[in-house]
Amino acid sequence: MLNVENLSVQYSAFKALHGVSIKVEQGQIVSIVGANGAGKSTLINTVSGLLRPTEGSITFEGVELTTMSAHEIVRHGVVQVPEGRKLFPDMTVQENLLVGGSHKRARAGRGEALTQVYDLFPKLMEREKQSARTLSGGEQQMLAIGRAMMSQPKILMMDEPSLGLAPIVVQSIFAVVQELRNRGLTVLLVEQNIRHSLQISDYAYVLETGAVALEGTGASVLADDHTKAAYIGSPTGSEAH
Amino acid sequence: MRRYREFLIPVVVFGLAGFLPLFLKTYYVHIGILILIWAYLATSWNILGGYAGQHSLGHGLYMGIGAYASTYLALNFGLTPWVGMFVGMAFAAAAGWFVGYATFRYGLKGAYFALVTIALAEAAVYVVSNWKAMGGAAGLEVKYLGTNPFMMQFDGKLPYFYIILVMTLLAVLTAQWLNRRRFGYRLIAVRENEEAAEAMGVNTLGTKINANVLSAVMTAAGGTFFAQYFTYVGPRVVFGEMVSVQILLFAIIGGLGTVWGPLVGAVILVPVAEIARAELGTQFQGAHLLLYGGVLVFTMLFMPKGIVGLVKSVRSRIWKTPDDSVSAPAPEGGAS
Repeated sequence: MLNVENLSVQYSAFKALHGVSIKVEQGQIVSIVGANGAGKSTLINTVSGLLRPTEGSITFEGVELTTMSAHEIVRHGVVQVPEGRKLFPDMTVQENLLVGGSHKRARAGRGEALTQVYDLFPKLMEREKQSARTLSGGEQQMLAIGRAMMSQPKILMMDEPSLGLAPIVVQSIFAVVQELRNRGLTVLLVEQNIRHSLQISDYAYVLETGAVALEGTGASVLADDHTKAAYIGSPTGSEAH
Repeated sequence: MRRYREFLIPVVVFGLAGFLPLFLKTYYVHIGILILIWAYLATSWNILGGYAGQHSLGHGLYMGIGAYASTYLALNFGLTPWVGMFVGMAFAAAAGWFVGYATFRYGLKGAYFALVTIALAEAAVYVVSNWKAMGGAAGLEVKYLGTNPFMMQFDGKLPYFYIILVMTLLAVLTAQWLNRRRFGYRLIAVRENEEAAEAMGVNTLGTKINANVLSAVMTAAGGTFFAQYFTYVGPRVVFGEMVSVQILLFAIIGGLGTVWGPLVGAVILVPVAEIARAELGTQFQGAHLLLYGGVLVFTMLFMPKGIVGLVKSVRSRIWKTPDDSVSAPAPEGGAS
């Protein structure tokens, strides 16, 4: 469905990605995990068209996205939930959602999409008329996801949805990700919360300093010795020493 | 019916304002006209500056284009300013598109965008000053014909008052309409977080250019009225920095990005400035400019959302509606 091939991205002197290739199939949850600065957000932002690659190609359902502008990419159904939410703080919850559904393809089914979002996040309906800045962190993340859903994505790319949220809220956000997949959406998930995201992923890539270090099913990456040593740590070992 | 209720309030307010000149001396009708001119221009500016958050400091460019186009066509071809106004608006649309494309296409924002707009308006002052057909530095005088509705000329002040009253009403209705339209949401989304707007499928470049064009077109119509009322256009008078600065002054003081802000700003500030000018003008020239500066600094420091913003937050405190004015955790939350 989404095919990223040999992608390289450079910020003036610094090469953020070198030759990254990933594949996302319809109906999957695919995770990109790795430490801070590994290039995870760069990858998502390049697929979204917010950054331009120096090399490589991005295709979605056979359509070339590499040189398309960001708002056109959204119209093809590739939508991101940006890191740190990036809501429109002085607009109401409902207005935030309406902006999400304002492009041509989404307009026809907007009423239906709004019902779906409110069905998934009843809290947002209660707070419909409140400005986005008055929401709690978890509600803001829900609004960011809802806003992205309004543009009727085929694939949703979520950049660190659990960032800065309390553990119990993180649980519910991961539950939402699974619910979205069950409703037929494809999800590309970027996370630092590695254990949790691998547990719900069909497939995963580990990025290290701008390149794919390891890939495999979520379970196999989770079981890998290198992943354990570098990112997770053995649950029993550390206290013994 | 409910859809149209929000438009009813402006219509009623302006309808009532229409009775005022019947009880006022000519001088106060003149002040009323000044208020409405600036309210109209500031409302036009507010679409780009307040809604879309792109602070143009060169709206004199569009005002000048409107003023000069209708005046030139009336003098040389006897064209009625009622049509000349639309010619000016067409030219302003082209200029607005060009300025928008030339700046936004290359990602100019904030102070950089403002600087380019100042430069372009200032360049227009010099171009027109050296353009013989446009009267050069001396400008153009609207030929006085006595009362002639066809040429938008009247001996008394009342007809001018009603023309600008209707124009301002239309501008306020446009702002009100934007508040509930997809295009309006896009403008605000661009202001609040341009990158997020783009990531949500908003064509931010097109949105900003369209906002500039709409704002320029409306401003140009104000230019035509200005020329007809003062029967004179000069390069500095209509293209100059005083025009560009005053336009945004009323919008900022009244409340950026609000429907009523520019009008409220003009209603409060224009009379005060006029009194200062009339009372102190001889001993202390430029007293009203000093006043503008002082009020602007005060507004920035103590009520950054302008008068309308202040009223809104006081009202929400009294009625205990969901309080939007209290700053809760910023939605940008978390590290980046």
